[in-house]
Amino acid sequence: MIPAVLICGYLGAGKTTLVNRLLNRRSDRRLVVLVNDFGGINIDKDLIVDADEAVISLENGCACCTIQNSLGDSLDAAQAMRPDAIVLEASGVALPQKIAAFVDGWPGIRLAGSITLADCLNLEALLTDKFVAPLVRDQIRGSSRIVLTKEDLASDRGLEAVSDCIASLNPGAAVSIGSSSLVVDELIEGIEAGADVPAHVVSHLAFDTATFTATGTFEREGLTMALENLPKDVWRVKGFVYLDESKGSARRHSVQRVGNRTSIEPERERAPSPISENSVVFIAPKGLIDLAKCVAIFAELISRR
Amino acid sequence: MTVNDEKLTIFPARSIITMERAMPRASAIAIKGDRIVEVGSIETMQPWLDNRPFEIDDRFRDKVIMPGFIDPHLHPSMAAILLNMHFITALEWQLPWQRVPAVKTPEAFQARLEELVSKDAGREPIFTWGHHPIWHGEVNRAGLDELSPDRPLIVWHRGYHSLVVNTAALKWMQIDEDNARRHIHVDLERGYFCETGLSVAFRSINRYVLDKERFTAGLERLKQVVHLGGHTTIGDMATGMYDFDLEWGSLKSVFERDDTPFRIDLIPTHGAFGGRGGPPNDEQLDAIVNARSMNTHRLRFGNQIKMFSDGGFFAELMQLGEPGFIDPLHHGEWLTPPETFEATARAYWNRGLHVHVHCTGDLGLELALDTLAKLLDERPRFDHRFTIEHLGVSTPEQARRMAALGAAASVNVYYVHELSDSFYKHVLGYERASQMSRLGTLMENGITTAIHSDYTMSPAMPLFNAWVAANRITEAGTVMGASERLTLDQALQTITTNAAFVLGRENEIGTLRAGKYADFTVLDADPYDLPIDELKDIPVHGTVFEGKPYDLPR
Repeated sequence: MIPAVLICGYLGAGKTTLVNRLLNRRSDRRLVVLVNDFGGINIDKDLIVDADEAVISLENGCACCTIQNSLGDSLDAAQAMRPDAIVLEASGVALPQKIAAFVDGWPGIRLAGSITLADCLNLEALLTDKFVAPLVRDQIRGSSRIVLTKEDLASDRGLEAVSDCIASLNPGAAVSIGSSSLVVDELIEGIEAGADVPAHVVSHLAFDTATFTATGTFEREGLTMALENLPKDVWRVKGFVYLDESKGSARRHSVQRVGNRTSIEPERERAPSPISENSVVFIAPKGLIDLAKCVAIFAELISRR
Repeated sequence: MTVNDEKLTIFPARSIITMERAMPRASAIAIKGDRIVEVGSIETMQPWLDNRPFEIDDRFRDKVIMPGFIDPHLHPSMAAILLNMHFITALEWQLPWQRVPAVKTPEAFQARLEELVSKDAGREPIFTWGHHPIWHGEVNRAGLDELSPDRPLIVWHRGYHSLVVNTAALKWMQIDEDNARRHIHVDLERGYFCETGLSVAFRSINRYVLDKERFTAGLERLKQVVHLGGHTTIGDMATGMYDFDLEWGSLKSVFERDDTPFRIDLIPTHGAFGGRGGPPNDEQLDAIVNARSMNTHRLRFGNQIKMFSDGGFFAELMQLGEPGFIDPLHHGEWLTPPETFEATARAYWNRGLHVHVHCTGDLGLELALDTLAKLLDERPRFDHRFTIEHLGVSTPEQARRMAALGAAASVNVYYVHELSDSFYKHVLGYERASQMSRLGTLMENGITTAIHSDYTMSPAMPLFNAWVAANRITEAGTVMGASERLTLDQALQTITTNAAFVLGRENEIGTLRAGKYADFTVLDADPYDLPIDELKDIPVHGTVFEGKPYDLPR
């Protein structure tokens, strides 16, 4: 039977980031990843290996409406690709217990584990949100493994408060902080095996995208201003920019924005590149705004010195 | 144009209920082709009769004519699957080919199963629908094996929650026993599949129930069901819920024929053309708008889109605000994440579509109303026809807000009849259960309110559902939420005038007046002559669709 790992958590909890990290590892096993949310996993080809475009969607619904059974079809499609393991990114409104029961009982598949991601910055707000508080509570309660994400942006006190909150909701859970490669390693460990084969992503999109590309280096202030000036309808920003550091050197930074939250993080050491190539992808719902114009304004602002 | 094309047909009647304020009653109706020429009396029609050839058709002289009934929300595709099954139900169902008697005890259920197996000499698997443990007790594999050792037997739950099968069915479904045994929602010894385990069963059953020929046969049956209810217009309120091409192809081949006495408005479901997980892209928006180019005489795409907020009401997956469910561990479900819901609704709104939202719980409704308020703020529209579908649990304040925001309502009121008693005891408590489907408050707030069957969730019987709206009598015989009852006038509006508005067809159907389609529902008795609690018992004699009479088999 093929082992499957389930990644749960509300919208913005960091599921896509974790999936990206999984896919970017050089690994011995061949993964098929089922992606539910409109996160645009395969947008940034620099972050993703060998993306596949089949449509897979994992939906809620009662049996009468879901007789067509898209999750089951998706699992069958995934199995047919003969992977060493399957990773499912659950819908942001899915209950881990429910999907776990589904996956664990599906012919040919056994559940290796499920993990719920919780965004440190947003968790407390979600737990009082008028629409999703009970759902987010149940998502925390529904996995034996909780990972706190965006910990780098939380204060120590904030982190403590969130940890306490999780401990009170799900006292038995193994809680780790940071959706780092360590967590990815631990997640993978249960399903490890095989040779160095790139992973496959299965996803679908309903977005406009536009890409800013440039060579050269930029200043952090310019980048920050350029990001702040983007209209809120730009849902996601992801990519990398070379930022000036002391003594005339520059370092590649990973740039991410989800909703209001922006992160600019130095990447680990890379082989020096003679040309600093920058690339930032902008994602917005199809047809809502003029992304080309956004990119033009972004290009202007980021270049200010 | 020859004079003969101008020939009028006059139908005198015992009475004509026009649903028009200016002329509520009439005694004759003149039509030409598919349209009404004049409503009134033979005397008042004289100027037409003096100038046009005409014939008087006396067939309805002792009948009562109403505007053709409209059910703006049912699901032909779901019905096509279910109508191929044998109904064994706790409440009575009237089907064109049989009256399904109420089966209220385990013994009666067994007896009915036995009868089915012994009468049906074929080899096909036997599916039954309607099993409910409250009435019918437990059914298990061993018991079914005894009844039917060789023939696959599949017993499906009334609320679609679970199914029980015999050994022959397990074999027919090619269920891998080792695999099924480890599934927490499959009990192989009992032959029982529930919740996520249902999918394991559907995996095999789908090939059979969604087979094109069988699906088409189910739609043929639906045609009779819709006629029997007295409908002349229905709305397919989620075209593409299973497979758009299969559905459209089958609907066209079955319904675009002269023996179909009704038209169908098709409202595509979000995701019908792909992209169910997020807001629609331009291509998908275009596909929805361009679906109109496929319109035929009876099948019509309009300017509408169906979206989903929270889970199903029969499945108890509605999202509730405070104080939630009696069972503290039970929660509803979002069918669309709130953020995604908003972005999706915005895309449709900005494209000018009329958004219809499935909302079953008060929190689900709150999401729809919050979204509507934002959209109105961003891009104000008048006459936007944002319509709340189902409206199981709601608050009076929400009704008032719906009015303020200009929303319309299409309500499943049958919930009150079948569910309010059990929801009172097990799910919601009395206060909220007694006020589900609060039609009275909606009407009082001036909201255009229709009712629907959501068939096969409820029977496609407009007079029966209007009876529930006016009486709020449960299957146990008690009245729930008496102050939410409608008057007879209002109850009849919900299946005619207001239902036409909800489908955006108020200029064509819904009342009887000059210029509208000649769509009639013909009754044997006048609802205004009878006590209101007898509304459901009035026989539908037949219908007239676009001027052509379609009698019901006696």
